Amino acid sequence: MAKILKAEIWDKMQYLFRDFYDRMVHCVQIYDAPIDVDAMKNVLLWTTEKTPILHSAFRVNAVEPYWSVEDYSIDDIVTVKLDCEDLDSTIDEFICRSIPVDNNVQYQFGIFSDGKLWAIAMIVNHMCMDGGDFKYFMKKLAENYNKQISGERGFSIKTGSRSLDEVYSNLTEEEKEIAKGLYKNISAVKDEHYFPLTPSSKEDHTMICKRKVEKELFDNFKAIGKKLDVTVNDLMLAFYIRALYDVGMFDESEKLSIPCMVDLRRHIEAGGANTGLTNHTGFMVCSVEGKGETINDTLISVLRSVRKSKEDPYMGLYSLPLLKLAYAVFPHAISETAIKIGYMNPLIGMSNIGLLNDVLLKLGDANLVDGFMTGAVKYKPYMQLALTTVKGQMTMTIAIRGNDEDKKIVEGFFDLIKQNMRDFIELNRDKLN
Amino acid sequence: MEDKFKSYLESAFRTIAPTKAAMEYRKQTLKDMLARAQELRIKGMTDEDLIFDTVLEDYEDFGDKLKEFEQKEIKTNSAKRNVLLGTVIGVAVTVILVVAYLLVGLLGHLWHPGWLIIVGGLFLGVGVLLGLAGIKAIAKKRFVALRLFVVIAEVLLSVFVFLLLQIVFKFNGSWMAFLAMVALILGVDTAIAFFTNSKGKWIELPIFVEGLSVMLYVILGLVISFWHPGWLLCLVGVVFAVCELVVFVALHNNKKEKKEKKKLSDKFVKTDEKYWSDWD
Repeated sequence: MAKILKAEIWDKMQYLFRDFYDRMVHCVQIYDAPIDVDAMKNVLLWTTEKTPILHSAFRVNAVEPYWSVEDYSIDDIVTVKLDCEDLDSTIDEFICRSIPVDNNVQYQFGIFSDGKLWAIAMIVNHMCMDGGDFKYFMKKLAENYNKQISGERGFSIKTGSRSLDEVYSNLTEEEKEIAKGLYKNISAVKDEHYFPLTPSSKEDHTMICKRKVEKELFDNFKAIGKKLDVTVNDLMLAFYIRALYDVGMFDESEKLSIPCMVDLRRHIEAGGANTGLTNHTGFMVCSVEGKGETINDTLISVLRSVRKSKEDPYMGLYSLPLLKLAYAVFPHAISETAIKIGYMNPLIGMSNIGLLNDVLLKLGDANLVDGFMTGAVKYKPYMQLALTTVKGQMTMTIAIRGNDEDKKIVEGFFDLIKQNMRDFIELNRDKLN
Repeated sequence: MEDKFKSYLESAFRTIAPTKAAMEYRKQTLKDMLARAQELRIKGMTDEDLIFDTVLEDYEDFGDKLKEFEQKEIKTNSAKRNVLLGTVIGVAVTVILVVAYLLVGLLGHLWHPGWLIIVGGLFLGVGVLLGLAGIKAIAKKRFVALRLFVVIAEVLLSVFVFLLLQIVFKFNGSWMAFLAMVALILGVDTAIAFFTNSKGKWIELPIFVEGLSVMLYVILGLVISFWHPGWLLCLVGVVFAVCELVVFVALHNNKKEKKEKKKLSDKFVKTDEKYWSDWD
C-alpha cells in the first residue's frame, strides 16, 4: 500500500487555484560551462528521495485529499538535450508545460545546451513549494551538486513540517494569540481593473513573456532609490502601476490596488530554514488613489500605501485562521466551495522573487550568467508580473495563456514599464551624482 | 536628519509621563516624520534643513496632541469579551427556557400554553438587548434610536400581555392591550421627548393627550357603551392644544414686551458720553 502524506492547507489552496492558473512554478538558469549530467541526476535522485512530496500524486476526494507516495525513475524527472539548435526555444518548450496533480512526480528538470551555453530548467507543482522555497531548492541543488562533483558527502535539504502553523513559529505567545485570531480578510483585493488581454480563444497557448532591464538602467534607478531610501520593490510597484494606468487606459483619478506577494517566512523561526518545502506566501495590497502627475507622485502614493503594510507586524497573516477553520470544520468538497465563494483572486499582481545569487548557484566551474524564476501561468483575465535579478540584471516575466496579440500587448506593457524607469532617472538625475 | 528628529521628539515627550504607550507613540511619530521627509525629498526638496523645518511645521500643535494623548481614557478592549459573555448568557437562557418548557409540558401536560415560556423568554431577551442598545444610545446622545428601541420593546410587551390575557386568563377584552399599546407608545415617547429636551416636545404633548383620549373613548364605548357623550373625549386633545397655544402666545408676547422695553430703555434712558462724540 502506498505511503500517504497529509495534504496541508496550502496544498489544498493551491489546488483550488487551478481555476486561475496552471499551478506550475518555473526556473531557468543559464551557465557558461558544461554541467555534469550524471552528477546532477544523482543529486536530483537524492533530493527526490529525501522529499517524498516531490514523488507523490495528489489524490482528491470529497472528504480529505491526500498525497500518495509513488514509484518513479530518474527518466520521469530529467530531460537532457545537449545538441539544441535554438537553446531559448528548447527551454521555452520545456517550461511551458504543466504536470498533472496525479502524476507520479511533481517536478521536471531539463538540462540543455547548444554547445556554447548550458541551461538547467525546472518546473514544479506550486502545491509543493512557492518561489521562496524554490529559490532555496535551487541553492541546495547547487550546493549538493558541488559536493557531488568534488567527491564530498553530507548533502542536505530541509525536511521539516509543511504545516501552515509553522508560519507562527517566530512569534511570541502574545503575538501568536493575536495572529491566530485574525479571521478578518483585510487583505482581500476588491479592485476590478483588469489587464487588457484579448478574449479567450482557441489560439491561446502557454507563453512566458520576458524582458530584460539592462544593468545600467537597473543600477541607475536603484542608486536613486537608495538616495531616497526607497526599495527596488517600491520603485517597481510605482513603475508597474503607472504603466498599468496607461496600458489599461484607466481613469487617472481612479484608485488602483495591486497585491504584491510577500514571503511569510519572516514570521517563521530561522526564516523557514527548518520547515519542509511548502508554500508560505501572503500578499500586501498596494493602493494608489490615482496615477499622479509624475512618476515621483506615483512613488509617493506607493510608499504611503506600503508603509502601512510594512509597519503591520502581522502582514500577510490575515484570514489564515479563517482558512484553517474552513478546512478543519468541513469536508473538502464543502470547504472548497465555501472558500471559492468568499475568495476573490486578484486580477493583477506583482511578485518580486528577487536575487538569484550567482555565487550560491554556481555549478562547479560553470558560472551562472543569466536566468529567471516566474510564477504560475495565469489564465485570462488574470496576470502577474514577476521580477528576478541575476548579476545586476533584472528580468521581468509575465506568464499567461494567450495568443500573438496578447504577446504584443505584454511587450508594449514592458516598454511602458521601462519608459517609466527612464522617466524616473531623468526626473531625479541630480541624485545620481 | 533622523538624529535631529529624535532629539526633537525626546525633548517634546519629556512634557508627558514616560509610559510604554508614550514610547510607542514617540517611535511611531519618528517613523511618520521620516516618511514625510522622504516624501519631500522625492518631490525634489534638497535642502536638508528646510526639509527638517517643513516636517516640524506639520507638528506645530504637537504639544496639544501630546496632552490629548496623555489625557486619553485608558480603556480595555471589553467589547469582544462582552459579546462572548452575552452570547454565552443567551445560549444558557435559551437552554433554561427550553428545559422549563419541557418540564411544564412533560410533568404538567401543559404543552399549551406552556410555549408562552419560550415566547416570553425570547421577548425578554430581545427586551434586554434593546435596553442595552438604549443605554448606549443615551451615552452617544442618539435619541431617535433610543425612541425606536423603546417603541419596539413596548410592542413586544403589548403582544405578550395580549397573549397572556387571551390564552391564560381567557379575557374577552384582551385585544384592548393593543389600544393601550398606542397610548403607551405615545406617552412614553412624549416623556422621552421632554427628558431629552427634544424640539418637538410641545407638539408631541397634545398628540399624546389626543391619542390617549381617543383610545379611552374606544375602550369605554366598547366596554360600557359610553359612545355618547363619550365622543367628547375625542375633543380633549384639541382643547388641550388650543390651551397650550394660548399659553404659548401669552408667554411669547410677554417675552417680546420685555425685549422691546429693554431696547427702548437702552435708546432713550441709558446715557453714555461717547454718544456726544462717536461718528462711527
